[in-house]
Amino acid sequence: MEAAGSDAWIEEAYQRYVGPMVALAAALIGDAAAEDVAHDCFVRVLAREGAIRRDAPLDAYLRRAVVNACRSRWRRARIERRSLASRVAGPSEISPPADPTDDDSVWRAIRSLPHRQRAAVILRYAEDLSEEQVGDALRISPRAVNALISRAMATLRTTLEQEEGS
Amino acid sequence: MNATEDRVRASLDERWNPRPVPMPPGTVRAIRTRRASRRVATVVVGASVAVTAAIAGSSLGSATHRPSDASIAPTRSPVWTYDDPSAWPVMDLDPSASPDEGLSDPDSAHFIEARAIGAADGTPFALMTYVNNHGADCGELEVGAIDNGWNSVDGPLCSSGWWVQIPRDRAMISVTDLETKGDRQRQVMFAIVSASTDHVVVETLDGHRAELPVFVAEGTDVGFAFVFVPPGSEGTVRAIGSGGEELDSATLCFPVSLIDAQDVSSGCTGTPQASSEREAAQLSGAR
Repeated sequence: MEAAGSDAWIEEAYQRYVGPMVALAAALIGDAAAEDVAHDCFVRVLAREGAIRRDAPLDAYLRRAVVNACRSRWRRARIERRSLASRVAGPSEISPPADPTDDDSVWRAIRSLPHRQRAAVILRYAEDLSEEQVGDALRISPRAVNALISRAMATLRTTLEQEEGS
Repeated sequence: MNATEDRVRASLDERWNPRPVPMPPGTVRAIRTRRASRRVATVVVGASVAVTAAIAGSSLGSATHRPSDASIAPTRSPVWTYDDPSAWPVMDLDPSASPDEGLSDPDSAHFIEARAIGAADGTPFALMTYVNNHGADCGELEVGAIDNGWNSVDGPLCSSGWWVQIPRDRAMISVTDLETKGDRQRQVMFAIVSASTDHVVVETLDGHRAELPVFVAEGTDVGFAFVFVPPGSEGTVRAIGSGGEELDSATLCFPVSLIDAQDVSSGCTGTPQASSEREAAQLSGAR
């Protein structure tokens, strides 16, 4: 590994970490903005002096930043949709963005979870992180992660049973 | 439950395929520029800032109250930075909690700044950057003066923030955001006001009241005020002139929303123009 903070180090870090962050962002908010979010988070995190230390867990910083950035985007998109919906046809319920090309019922169900539950499920089962690591990314305790995932799994099971029963 | 978990794992395994991403040209320069910008912004106003966050009629009575100080009153400064969490004005928090509770990581402390930046056409713009306690979760607003009206734009520095457009007959907009940290939530209110505003008064329906100083970015006619308010707060935000007259008012509302009277356009910064660091880096590299 190059000296921390050098141009070569930054490039190596980019190639090593941004790919998984793009995948994470894509799972959370879709493919369209995933690369932008991952790139922006990389720039923001590395612009902070403390992020470039030999022992700094850069992937953990990045993961946390990506989860938060995705949450912000999703939240603001929801506000925008709600605003547009209220102008056109009065208040309406807000649904997460759906992918019309998606034929995987499990994936559709995951994407319909609330943001934090979705993030917890993806970090735990796709990234294969421990509950402690997931908690670090979401800034909650491992116990809270466990509870969050349990609720998510219960919701998923119900959703899938309903879908398959209909 | 295991069957559901197995299906979730299988579905995610199928989709989880991280690929190496080549670094766009200009990325290193963007990082170094941004880092230099943050260094400049360490003019800590912090504890020396005059903050008047008085609560009237609050049953909790946990407001931070600091007397005005003429030397640090809302004078014009190239950069106002407010990165000391203990100095943030707080309308209401649990008395047992401090404003910086849980901010053990100094790199993810609250941070706010307003600075003048020049637009391409020479129009002075004020850039307000807000970073909450998650560190990288930013809201950024660019507000400028155009033809005696205000406008805000997306720019290369603003990739995940809000945009707002202020009607020309208004003197203020206000914005709220909700922070979540663990089980705790805080609502943050920003008021973006004309520089002629002396102070901003926030009153909630449940009786909280705060008077906030206005910080003005040098070279612009734009200032801002901000305060934490109790989550779920609703009420009013008023811009008050030096003679005590009300210049404008807006509604404080909840949940997470951009707020003001009618005609304020707002949204997220998902424009196709250079709206992200990535695009800016690519453009920069191309040049």
